[in-house]
Amino acid sequence: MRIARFSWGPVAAMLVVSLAASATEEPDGTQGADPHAHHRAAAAAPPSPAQVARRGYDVPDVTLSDENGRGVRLRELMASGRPLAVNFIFTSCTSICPVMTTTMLQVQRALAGDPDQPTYVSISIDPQYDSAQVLKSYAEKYGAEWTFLTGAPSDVVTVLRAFDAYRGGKMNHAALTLLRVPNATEWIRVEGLVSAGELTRLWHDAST
Amino acid sequence: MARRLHLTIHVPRRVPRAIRAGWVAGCLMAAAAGQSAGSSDLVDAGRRLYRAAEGSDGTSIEATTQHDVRLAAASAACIGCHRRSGLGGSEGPVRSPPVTGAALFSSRETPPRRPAYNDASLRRAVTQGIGADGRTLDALMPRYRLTDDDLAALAAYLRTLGAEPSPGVASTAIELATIVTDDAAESDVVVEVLRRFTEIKNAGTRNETRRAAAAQHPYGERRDRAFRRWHLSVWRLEGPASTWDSQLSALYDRHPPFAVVSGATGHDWLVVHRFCEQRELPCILPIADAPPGTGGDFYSLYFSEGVRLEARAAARHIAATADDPAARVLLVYGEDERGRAAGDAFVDAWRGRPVVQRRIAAGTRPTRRQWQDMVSREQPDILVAWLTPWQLQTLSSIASGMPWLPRRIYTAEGFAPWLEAGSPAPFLDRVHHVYPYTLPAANRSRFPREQTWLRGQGLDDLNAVAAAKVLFACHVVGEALADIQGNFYRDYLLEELEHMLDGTSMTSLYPTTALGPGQRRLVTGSYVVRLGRSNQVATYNDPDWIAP
Repeated sequence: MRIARFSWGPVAAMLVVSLAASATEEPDGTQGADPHAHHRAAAAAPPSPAQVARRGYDVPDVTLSDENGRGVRLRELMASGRPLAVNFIFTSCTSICPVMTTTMLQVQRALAGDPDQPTYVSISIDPQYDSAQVLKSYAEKYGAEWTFLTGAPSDVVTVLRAFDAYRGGKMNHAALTLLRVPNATEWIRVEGLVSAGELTRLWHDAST
Repeated sequence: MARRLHLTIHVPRRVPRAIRAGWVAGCLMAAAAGQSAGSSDLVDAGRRLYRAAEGSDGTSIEATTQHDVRLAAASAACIGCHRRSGLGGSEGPVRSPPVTGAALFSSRETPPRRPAYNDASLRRAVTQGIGADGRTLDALMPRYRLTDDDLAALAAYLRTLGAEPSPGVASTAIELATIVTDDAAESDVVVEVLRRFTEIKNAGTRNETRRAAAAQHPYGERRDRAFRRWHLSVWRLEGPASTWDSQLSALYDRHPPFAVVSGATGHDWLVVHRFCEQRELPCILPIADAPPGTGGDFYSLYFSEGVRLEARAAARHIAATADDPAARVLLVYGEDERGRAAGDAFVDAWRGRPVVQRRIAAGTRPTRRQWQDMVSREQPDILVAWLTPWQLQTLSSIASGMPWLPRRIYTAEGFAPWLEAGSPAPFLDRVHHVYPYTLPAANRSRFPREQTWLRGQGLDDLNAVAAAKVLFACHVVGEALADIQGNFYRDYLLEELEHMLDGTSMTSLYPTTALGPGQRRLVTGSYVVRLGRSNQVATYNDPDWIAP
């Protein structure tokens, strides 16, 4: 009798505690009611500390390889007057590179109707690992239909230095996008991550 | 919802002791069973969300980063930045903070300070980008669309991250193991070098133990605090490879190590590779001629793809430099695991172009007659010989009298280390040799730092290449264990190695080494050299670097 009577107490206590616990876990009403809260929060957020500058670059005369293993002479690809959008990625980078590639995709979509669309180029900073084949499957994964370049490590370093994009190792990789509007001699240099909308705006502002 | 209920169970005093004990045990078991049944599903769902951005309903979750960039599927997964360990990471200027349960759900007292997260503030952080302190999180942190189920699963999974340190670590010592098989030529080298390195590490010549004790206060030097004496176990596997897995299990259960350092086998390393992946046990830089492919595997780190890399480099070299695109190629290799690995890798890299293949029974070599038949019948322009100097000796002994000799003969360091073996005299000038290490300068030792150390330890009679590999593995693990600063999680050790080994200056064994997230081979290229001779010693000349 005693045993049975005493044994109920803790069980009841447990029940109360677990009910209380689930009560505190009810979602707060505002969250469910406002599905766009995160958009507004994003709009109100301060812009990322990206830096925009105008710079001239001397494109080095090297031949790199595209994602199909075809040789690409960089000076031909980047011939003067040609509009270009260039970024620097590596395929095993899982933090900023997926963002940069997706951003480029959205910019490409946003500029699809423009008469002078840029040629889009992604240059791998990890040529030892990013073979043409690796780049091809990376492009396919994202549905990115533009030129991905790799090459001999020394040639890639030459290119990175020419664009002031060399950071020693790939773990020091920093986000960098270069835009060159039609017939411009200078490039727009965007250091850091920006929104796709901001990149599109930079392009349009410079084009007009 | 898995949450920790901090219950104090009051046991009535007047209940007899035996019944009390049984009652408590019953209560605890019921609570544990209830929690693990519900929470293990929840944790699994959280793991899928964290690692693959898969929602509780099986569909991909949606996420927006940098204000308007909509990440697709797996690109949005937490693991990309916060890593498998949950301890975060950095790339260039971008830093991703730790999100383990212990880190998130407690306040941070060092700047930037913030209060502890709870389920409500975690929800605001991942859906709206608002931190526990009310500040807006970096725009790179995706804003996720998550259901209540997703959030519950995520919180449950994050609580498991870092909840327990990995096995093998005590307050003053760390358990490490190495694995050698009884058929491995290098097992003595592995054991000798590791034992000597461990002795020196533990000798305390820099007062490491005293410094570790002195550094225990919160502002102590973290690298000092993390010092542990190495306790090294040598796991010797015997008999057929089919029994290795059960031997490994028994050894592991007796003394689970934090990591496996170096190792050697005469067979395929696949059994050990699978064991380490299954036990989530780091297996750092074994000597393996033909390590298994590492697609997506996490815990096994190799120097390179071994003879597979050498075979692919040869195929690429021929394709890039042979003047005649219709050149006839004869491929000869032994019917053992190493030979087959190199043979198959060559054919694969040769991409459907014609090649005649001849396999030789394991442990044998072609007779002079067989060489004559092979070469005169096929009249190859290029002979690719994944053979040892002993296997090639029957060819070199008759080469000068043969009416037809291939214009090029490809050999590889994994089979024919000519510097140790001497030179194949009659067809010396036709040999293109695949050599993955730093090129030897004339009349200089190849790995001066390592060889100096070995001489100092009286170990200079050991195979220099193998010893240099073991020593490198020792240095790398030693550095990484200091760098993780007391965060003794196996996942974090590998993440640290990925970071540390990108462009390290620690080795002279290979000309370049690099690693990155998910990459598990330090070296991805090789030299192809021309064989020469100077004062009766083989020399390697005119190098081409090939990264196939």
